[in-house]
Amino acid sequence: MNETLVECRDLRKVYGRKTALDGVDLSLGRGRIVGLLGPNGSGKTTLIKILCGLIQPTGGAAAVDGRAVGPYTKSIISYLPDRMYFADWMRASDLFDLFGDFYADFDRKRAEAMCQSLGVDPRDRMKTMSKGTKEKVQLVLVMARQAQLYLLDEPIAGVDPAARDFILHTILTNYNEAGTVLISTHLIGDIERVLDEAVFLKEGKVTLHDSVDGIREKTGKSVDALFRDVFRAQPMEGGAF
Amino acid sequence: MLWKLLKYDFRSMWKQFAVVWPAVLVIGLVNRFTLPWEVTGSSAMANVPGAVGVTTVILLFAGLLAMGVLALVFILQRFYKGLLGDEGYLMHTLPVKPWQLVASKLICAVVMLIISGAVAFLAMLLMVPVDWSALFQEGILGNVIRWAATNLGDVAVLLEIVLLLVEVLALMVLTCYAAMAVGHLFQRHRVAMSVVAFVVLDIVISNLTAILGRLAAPLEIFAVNSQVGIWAVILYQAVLGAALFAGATLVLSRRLNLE
Repeated sequence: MNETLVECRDLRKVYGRKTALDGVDLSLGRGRIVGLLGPNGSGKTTLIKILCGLIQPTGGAAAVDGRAVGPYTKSIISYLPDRMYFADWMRASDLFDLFGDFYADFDRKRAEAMCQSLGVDPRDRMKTMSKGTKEKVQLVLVMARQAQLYLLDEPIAGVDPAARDFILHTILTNYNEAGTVLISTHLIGDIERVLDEAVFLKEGKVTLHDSVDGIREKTGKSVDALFRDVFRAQPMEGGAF
Repeated sequence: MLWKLLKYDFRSMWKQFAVVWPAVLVIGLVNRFTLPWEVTGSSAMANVPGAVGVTTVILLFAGLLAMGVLALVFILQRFYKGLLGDEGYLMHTLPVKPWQLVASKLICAVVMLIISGAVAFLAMLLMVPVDWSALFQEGILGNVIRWAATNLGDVAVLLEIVLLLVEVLALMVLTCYAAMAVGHLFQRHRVAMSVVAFVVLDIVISNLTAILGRLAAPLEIFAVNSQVGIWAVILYQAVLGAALFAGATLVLSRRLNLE
């Protein structure tokens, strides 16, 4: 088993004329909760999608557990995308069947218990569920796996503060502690307390990667305060007409 | 893993056709009693007003048309939405190889086309009043088999024809898949580019087939032995299908960009 779980070397991704990732070098160990932090458009989702195999890098290399992205890495990654990926005809129980068939680390009993505690009936059709309930089902599917790497893309974006606490609580009480959780977000204040490490991504480049304690010690600021300093947009000055 | 993928693709197929297949069969059966067939035992139906018969016939053809449209939508949607749309976020993160994803969709689509064809044929059969007991008792079925044996040479030829037809269906589906995969290579207007790719692929395949057909026609071996001709076509279609399959799989494995 490799001590380094995620390894990116000079990872680049270009969409037409826009550079999403510009030579990302990143190593992540095991048993960590890592915040992938950056404003919208900084390349967080692109990096996660490359690790999942949903997009192909323009250059460089990415490896998980020492292997190039492929069926093996997909079997140890639990991915929460920033959108719904269900077919309309499915029920939550169909998805449990599917995850049970394809992922050896999926714990169906845990998924059913989580559904019960979240007030979700697994027999309901996905198309009849509200957006919030669908998000809960997706979270259950991801966290009911004892994965080595959890890739959570903006899990707390677009929800109210109470729901954020609930989502974070679900993540923290269910993840495999021997694995690593990579959470992308720009809402630092809500997740700073649970992070071991933070990675700042700015315009497709890693500008900072350190432990949260290290950041506080070196800068004398919280990660949230440092993030605001680093990514503060300059307001446009009004000119004379 | 392919079997597991097939399990879910077949479930999806059944959900989509669970209504239309039985409905077409029922409408076919209804037509048997509403159309004024001049067959002993159905004379009572002569009293059925013509308008009812016309309506049920229209209903049957509407059902067949709906089934055809649904089949086309199923082929396109299960690949485009299932692998290149939002559902792709689930399918491409499963620990399977891209060729297995394409193969599963292909097998399911071909089976769906065969079942739809069988349902259409059965609906027509149900529409016509057939005396099934006479069919079996008088050995008509046996005559059909004897006719097939005489005219088609042997069962092997029949199987070759079935194989040819399955290949034709698979090629239709694979042309759609390859076109959508080519469309996916573009950053913008992916649907429009898929349509363009389909037209181009269709023209290329038609011309290639015509050229090869013209080249092969004068060859003596095809004239003397039709078996060789059939196997040449089977081989040609297999190579063509493999090329389209490889193209679609290559895009999913090397050029996937779910943005």
